[in-house]
Amino acid sequence: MTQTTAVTWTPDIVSAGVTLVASGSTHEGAVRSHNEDAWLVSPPVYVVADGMGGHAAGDVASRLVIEAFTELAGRDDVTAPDIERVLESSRSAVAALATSPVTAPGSTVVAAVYVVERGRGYWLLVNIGDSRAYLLTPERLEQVSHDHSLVQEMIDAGEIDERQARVHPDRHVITRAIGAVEDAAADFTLMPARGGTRLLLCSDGLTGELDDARIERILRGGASAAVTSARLVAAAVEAGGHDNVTAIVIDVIGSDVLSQADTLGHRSDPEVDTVPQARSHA
Amino acid sequence: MTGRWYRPGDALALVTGVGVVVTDPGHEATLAALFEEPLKVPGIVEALTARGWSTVPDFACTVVEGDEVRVLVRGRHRVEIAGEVLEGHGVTTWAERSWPRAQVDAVVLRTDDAAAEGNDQAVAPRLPIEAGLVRASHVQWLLADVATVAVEDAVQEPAVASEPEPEPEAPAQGEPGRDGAPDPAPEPPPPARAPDSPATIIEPDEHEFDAMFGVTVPGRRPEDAAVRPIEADLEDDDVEPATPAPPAPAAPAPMTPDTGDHDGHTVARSSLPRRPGAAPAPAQPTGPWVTLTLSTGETYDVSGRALVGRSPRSTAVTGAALPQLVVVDDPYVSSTHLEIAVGAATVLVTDVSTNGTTLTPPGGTEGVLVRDVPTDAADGAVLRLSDDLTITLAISGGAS
Repeated sequence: MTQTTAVTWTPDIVSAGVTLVASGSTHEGAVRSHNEDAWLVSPPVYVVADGMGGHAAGDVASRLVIEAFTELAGRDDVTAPDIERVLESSRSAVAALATSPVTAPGSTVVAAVYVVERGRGYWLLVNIGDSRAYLLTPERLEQVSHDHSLVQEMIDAGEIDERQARVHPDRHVITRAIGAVEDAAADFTLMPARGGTRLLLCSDGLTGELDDARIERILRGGASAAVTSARLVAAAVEAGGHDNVTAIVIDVIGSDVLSQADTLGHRSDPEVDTVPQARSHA
Repeated sequence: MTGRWYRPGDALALVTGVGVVVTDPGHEATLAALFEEPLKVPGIVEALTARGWSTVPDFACTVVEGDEVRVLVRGRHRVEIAGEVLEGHGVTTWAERSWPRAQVDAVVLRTDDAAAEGNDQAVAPRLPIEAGLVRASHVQWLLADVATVAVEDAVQEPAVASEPEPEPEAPAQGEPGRDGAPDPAPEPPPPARAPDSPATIIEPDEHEFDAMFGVTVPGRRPEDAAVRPIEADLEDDDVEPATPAPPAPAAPAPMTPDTGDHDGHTVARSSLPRRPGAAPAPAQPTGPWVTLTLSTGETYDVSGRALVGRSPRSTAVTGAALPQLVVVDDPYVSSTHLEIAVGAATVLVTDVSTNGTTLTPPGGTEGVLVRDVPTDAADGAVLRLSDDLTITLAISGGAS
C-alpha cells in the first residue's frame, strides 16, 4: 500500500522568502512482501534510504539512517560537517547490526537539507549508493546525484550506455553504502534552491521502473507535491514494482530576489512586493 | 501568486486546509495545538478560552464547515468577506456570522491598524502560504480548492467518515447561482474512506488525491510545519550549554525502529543527545583569503574555493571540500561562470563561462581569460563577468 505524507514549511520569514512544500510516498512494490525503504520529510531535512540485506534487517538499517538524520530536523543552520557527523553515526549504528560479514545489512541514502546563507536558500545534498536526487527546472530535468553502482562505473568507463545499464544483470549492485560496504564515502553537492524548481529524491525502485523522460512527464504534470509523489510511486508499481518504491517531491515556492533585498536592504524594486509565484500546486 | 498569501506582521496566523485563525502574539502554543486537529469553530473557541475569560486574546478566524463559511472576530482584528467587513471592536465576547459557501471566494483577515489591502505603501510583501503558523498582518485565504472533509480526517475519525457531508469533491471556483440548486450527488466513497482502513491508505486515484491534497497540505504531521522550529529554537536556547560538551565516544544510535510509521516520526532535535562533532565548523581561516567586492555592493570572503554564477553547483567527496557559492542575478552570467581558488601563495581565477570573463590587473590593461585555464590574479585585480557585473579582488593574510 502507498503511504503518503505532505508537509508545508516556511523558513524564517526574514531570512528567505520561500515556502517548501514537500511530500513523500512509499510502496513496498508488487513483488516484495515488506518495505526496506525508509524516508523522512522533516523540514529542512528530506531523506530517502534504501535498506539492503534481505533477511538481515535491511529495513532496520534504512530506519537507523533515517533516525540519525532526524537530529537535523527543525534546524536552520545545518552545515556539511553536521551531515558528515550524521552519516558517521548512522554508519556506526548500521555496522552494529552486522552479525557476520556475509549477512551485514546496509543502506543507501540520498538526503537534501535546505540551508539559508546570507538570505539565500541552498540545497545541501548528499548521496551514498544508487538512490537519486533530481532537479526539475523550467528548462529540464537533471539528475543531481551520481550513482555509486557497478553499472554507473561501467557507464563512466564508456563500456555500456544508459539503455544497456537498465537491463544489465548487475544493475542492482552498488559500490558504496552505509554499513555493508567498506567504501562508504559520500558525494556532497551544494546548489542554490531556486524558486520555481522541484526536487525529487527517490529509491532505485522508482528509477528502475521509470526512465527519466517518464519521471519528467509526471513531475511536470502540474500537480501538487503530494499528488506528484504518489503518482510517481503508483506509476513505478504499475510498471512492475520489482522493488520497494519511495519518492519525495519538494517544491521551492517563492523568490530568492526577495531575500536578497531583505539582506542588502538597498533595493526599492517594486517587484519585491510581489513574490513571483512560479508554480501552482493546488 | 496563488490566492493564499500573507504579509509578515505582528499577529499570529494559523493557516490550514479548512480555515485560518489569527491571534495576538503569545499564543503560539495554543495555535500549534490547534494545528494538530481538524480545524473546527468549537475547538478554536475552546482552545482560546481555556485559560479563562480574562486571558482570551483578540482573535479572528474563518472556517469552512459544511456549506457555510463561519467567521468569528474579537478585538483589534477584522475580516473582509463577500464584500463586507466584520469587525471585532465593541463586542464583549466576539462577533460571529456565517456566509453561504457559494458566496465566498476569498477571505482577508487583518489587524485593525494594518493598512487596507490595496494600499501597498509601507506594508510587507505578500508571501505564499498553503498551511503553517506565521507572524502576519494580513492573510488572504482562497476557498476555491477547499476540500470540505479532509479524507485523512475521515480515515482517522470513523465517526466523521460514517456521515459524509453531501459536498462535491472539488467545488468549482466562485461558481455563481449554486444556492437553490441541489448539490451534485456525492461521489461514491473511495476505498480509502472505508472506516476499517488503516491509517492513510491511498489508492492511485487522481480524484482522491486532489480532494485529499489540494488543500490538506499539512498532512498528518503538523509538528513538522512552521511550528516546530520555533519551539525547538526556544528549547535549544534553554538547554544548550554555553560551552560544548566534552567529546564522548560515538555510541550507536539507540535502536528504536518505529514499525508502525517509518517516515521519521517526531523526534524533536532538542530531545536527542547532541553528539559532539568530529568535524567542527571551520574557524576563521588562518591562511590567506580574498575579499570579493561585487559591483552590486555585496562582498564575500573566500578562503578556499568559490564558484561564481547565476546558479553555481559543485559536488565534492567531503563536505569540507565544497566551495563557497557566490550567486549573482545577471542573465548574462553563466550558471557557473568563474572559479576562484585561494592557495597559499597565489589566487587563481578560471573562466568556465559561455560569454567569457576579462581580467584587469591593477594598473594594467583588460584582457580576456582563456576558458578553463587557471590564471594568476593579483591584489586589486578586477574581473568583469558581464556589462553590469564586475568583481574586485582584495587579497589578505599573506598571499599577496
